[in-house]
Amino acid sequence: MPAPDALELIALLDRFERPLVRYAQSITGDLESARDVVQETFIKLARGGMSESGDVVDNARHLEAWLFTVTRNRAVDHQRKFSRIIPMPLPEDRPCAEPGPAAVLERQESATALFRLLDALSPNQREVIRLKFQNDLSYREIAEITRLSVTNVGFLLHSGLKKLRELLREQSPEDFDLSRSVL
Amino acid sequence: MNADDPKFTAHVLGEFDDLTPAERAEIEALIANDPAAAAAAEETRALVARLRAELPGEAAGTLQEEQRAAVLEAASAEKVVRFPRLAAVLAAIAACVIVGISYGLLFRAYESGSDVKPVAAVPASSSHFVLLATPAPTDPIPSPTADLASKVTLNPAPPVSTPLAFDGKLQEELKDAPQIAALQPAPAAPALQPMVRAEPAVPAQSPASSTSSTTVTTTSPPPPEFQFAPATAARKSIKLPVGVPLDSAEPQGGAALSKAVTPKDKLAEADASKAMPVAAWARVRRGFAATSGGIGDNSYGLDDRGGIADKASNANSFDTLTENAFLNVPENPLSTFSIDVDTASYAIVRRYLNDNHLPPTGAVRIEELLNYFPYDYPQPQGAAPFSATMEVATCPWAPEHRLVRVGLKGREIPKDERPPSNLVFLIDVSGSMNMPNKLPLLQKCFSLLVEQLGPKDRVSIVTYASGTKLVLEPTQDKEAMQTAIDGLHAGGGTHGSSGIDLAYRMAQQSFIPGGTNRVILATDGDWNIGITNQSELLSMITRKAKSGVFLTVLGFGLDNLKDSMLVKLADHGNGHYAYIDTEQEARKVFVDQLSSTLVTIAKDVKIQVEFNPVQVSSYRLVGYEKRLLAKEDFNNDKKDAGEIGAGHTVTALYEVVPVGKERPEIAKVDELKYQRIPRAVPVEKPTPQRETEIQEREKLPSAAPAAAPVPAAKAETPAADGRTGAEKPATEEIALNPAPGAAPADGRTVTMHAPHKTIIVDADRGNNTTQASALAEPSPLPASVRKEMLTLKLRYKEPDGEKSKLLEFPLTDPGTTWEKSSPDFHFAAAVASYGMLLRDSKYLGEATWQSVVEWAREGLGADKHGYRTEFLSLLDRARAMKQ
Repeated sequence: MPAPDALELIALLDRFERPLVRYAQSITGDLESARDVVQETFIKLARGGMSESGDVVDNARHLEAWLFTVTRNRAVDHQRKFSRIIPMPLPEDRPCAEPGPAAVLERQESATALFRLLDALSPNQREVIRLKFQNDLSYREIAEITRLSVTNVGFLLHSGLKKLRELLREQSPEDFDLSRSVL
Repeated sequence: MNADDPKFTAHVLGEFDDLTPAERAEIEALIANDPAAAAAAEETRALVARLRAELPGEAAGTLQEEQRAAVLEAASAEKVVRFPRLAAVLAAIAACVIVGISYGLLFRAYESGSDVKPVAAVPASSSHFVLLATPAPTDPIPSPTADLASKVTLNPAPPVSTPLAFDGKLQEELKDAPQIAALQPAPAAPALQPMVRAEPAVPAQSPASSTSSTTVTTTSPPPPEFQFAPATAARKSIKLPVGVPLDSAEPQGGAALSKAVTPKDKLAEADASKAMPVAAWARVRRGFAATSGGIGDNSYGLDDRGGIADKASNANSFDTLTENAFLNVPENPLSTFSIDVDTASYAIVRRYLNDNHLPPTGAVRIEELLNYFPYDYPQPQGAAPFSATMEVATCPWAPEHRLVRVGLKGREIPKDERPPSNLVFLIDVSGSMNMPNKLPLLQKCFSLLVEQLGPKDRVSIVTYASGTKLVLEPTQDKEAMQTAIDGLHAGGGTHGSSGIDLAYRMAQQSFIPGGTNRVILATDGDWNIGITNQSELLSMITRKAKSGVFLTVLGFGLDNLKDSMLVKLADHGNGHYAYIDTEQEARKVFVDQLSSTLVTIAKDVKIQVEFNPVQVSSYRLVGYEKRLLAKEDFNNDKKDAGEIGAGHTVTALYEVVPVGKERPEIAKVDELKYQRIPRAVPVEKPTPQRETEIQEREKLPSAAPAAAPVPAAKAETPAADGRTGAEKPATEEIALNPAPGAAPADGRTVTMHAPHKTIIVDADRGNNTTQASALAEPSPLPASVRKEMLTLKLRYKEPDGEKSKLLEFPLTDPGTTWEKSSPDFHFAAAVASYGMLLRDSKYLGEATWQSVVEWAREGLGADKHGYRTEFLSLLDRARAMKQ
């Protein structure tokens, strides 16, 4: 795939910068380094990095997986370099992890609750759940990005979801019922 | 196999790729027969629905501007930067968006879209799939109702010398293929659009069109910006269109990619669009940020009535907005934007101020502040739906600069002449609306509207919460309407998209041809079920807007107002957006300005200003950041723009730096090596006129091919003043640039009102434009033209029209001082300055709260409804808070 030109890059930035920064931040734990990582990813793309990797597949779906892969690798590298605990972030710098004031909606409270529950999962589980439900990637794409096997991804998602179900049932049964009635 | 097998979960998630048929059957049997497994599956689905709904809402940072700039620099260092048509960019985005969602979801979205009967009853879904799945068809003669799929793949790349039929022609074809129009810009269509646009003429074209295209090629080469689509483009996988610059068109390109080819364009080189300074990228990006639906939720905190400005716990969401910068005329002679009649920002800011808070800068949109107020522009005369007025005087905040005010005024329609209305109230009754400043205010608001309705007006009511409900079948019974409104109550989740779908279906069902067909959506915009992804929702609303139903978006509440979403919904849905903070505001929208709110008199109104480098060194468009268009979009009738309602006034301001005055700081790039254009030499007229010419000719039914050029000229000549239209092409060229103040020979009346200049269009001058022949060689501009500061060009469509009409007005600066300028001019300058002060704009210049109060006082005028007086009190509040 040839390097995108500037306007295409802008379109790609608009489409992917937020998901990528968010993903990188979930690995690096802070916004600044997440931004650096994503900037590097896009610069690599701008310089024709995709063709360097020898890929012949040219579809946009693949591009997305490529962006996530590069972002992940760089974020993990970054983490190693700064020798912090390897993958996962603390929830503090996420605004939505803060409890809202009384007037904030029910829904947001439940969202906050959901994010809090996510923190109870293992970093691996959390990562695949993000990739799957935040970014709508397939098992295979997730496997490609995380360098896990598809079976492994399937297992992590399965166990992660199961844990979440259990936690929801224990901690806030009525909350869970609410989400069901909505369907 | 049991419910605790990862494969079971994969199945529930719809991940079938790695399951064998036997495994799938086994799992399905398990769910069917084992209640425990069924319960587990159900529970997982519920959880997944929540995850899908809530995880994407997690806060996500963006790159810093410098970081984006660095990325773009890396790209421009890599290769020559081109400036493809915006459509190509949108296609790229759309392709990305498509990729972002699963095919299954896509398919479902299309199916629901096809429930609404488009004008031509071809379901969008079918054409979509034909399009993607068709291998190169072999039918050699395109039918008049162009089957786009075959068009795309049929034509091999032409040699460069082939006469080209561009935009206008193609748009005509598109118009003939409404199923395509209904599709676009649904996700797949944009990917298609750039390939199809500007398609080379096929020998099998009807004689009429090929005649006209030949005419054009001989008179002057059109910008040969075309793109060809290799047959492989029709493959099922959707690709990012990747532009590859080519000097000579090489048949088929040989690549499996769909390549957007931009041959060197001799004319366009002059306008320096090839190499775009990095600083301009930000502007371009903003230009389509609104259309691309960047999932940008920059949030600023304010809770409901308490108004706790706590950034961490906020829920309102406003897109950030970077003010337009000064642009140099030699590099950027054209400024293009869509009109906008939203007023929400003014009321939102007022709400913040009345709560004793300063608004977040993202909530302050200067064009919406300006357009909140009616101005005293003249009524249009003759056939044109609106008048245009320009005034130029000293810029009060930068006395070295000139301030140009462009004013449009839609024709007033008296209350009793309002065409019958078919209104669908689409009301959000989810739990979040259950607050005193939302549902009860909303009910009052709709009651007011119902009171205003006449016996011919029809209303239906759709509500949505967790589910969608048709609360009131279409009726003309006002009592029934009132009862239904009174009976509304709130509770549950918010399934916005399904409500939209039903509302548009209802509007279609009782469609009144020639009447007002409008969905009025009342919400806080916080949708958490169904399609919540912004870009999907926007492409859905864009599709719905094609049905001829207009949209009004009413925002309520200030605890979790999704302003960024509502702005875009209105922009994409042929709509306008008002924010209702008080009953007075409801009264303004539904009583004082009812006709403007309901009756659309022109749509897709675009403004393009060409600045004269002899007079103007740089300029800045004040506001309209969300509505910027690429210069090419001006003539692109497929490109959506703003609507103007009966009696609406639209105001835009330019801060202009005359030649010789010190230029404000402009983001610097190195001087361009290949782009030196001597300032004194006139820049050639760009191509729109020629293009228009073609569009106009294409109007002729192809059944009468022999009649081509001359009768076309007749047909487009306005008869309003009794002149016959047998103008020769050569005289048309003169008509294009009339000496200031002179009445041109083509039916326009130019009226001058001292001390400012007013030009009234009183005839549907439409596309009566120049022949291209005179443009072949640049010649010095006539002295009268050299004196002109700028030329204002407007394009608009009739509310049910597909083809735009063009109006053009030159403006010469008479040197009016600030003191001599009109009261409205003072008031508009005060409102713009108020916005700049709230935004802490770097372009504030000498404006202070004190001076703004003075200017506003000078501009109070009659102030029939008291809006301007109220503005004065807001100024006081804001000043107290800012200081």
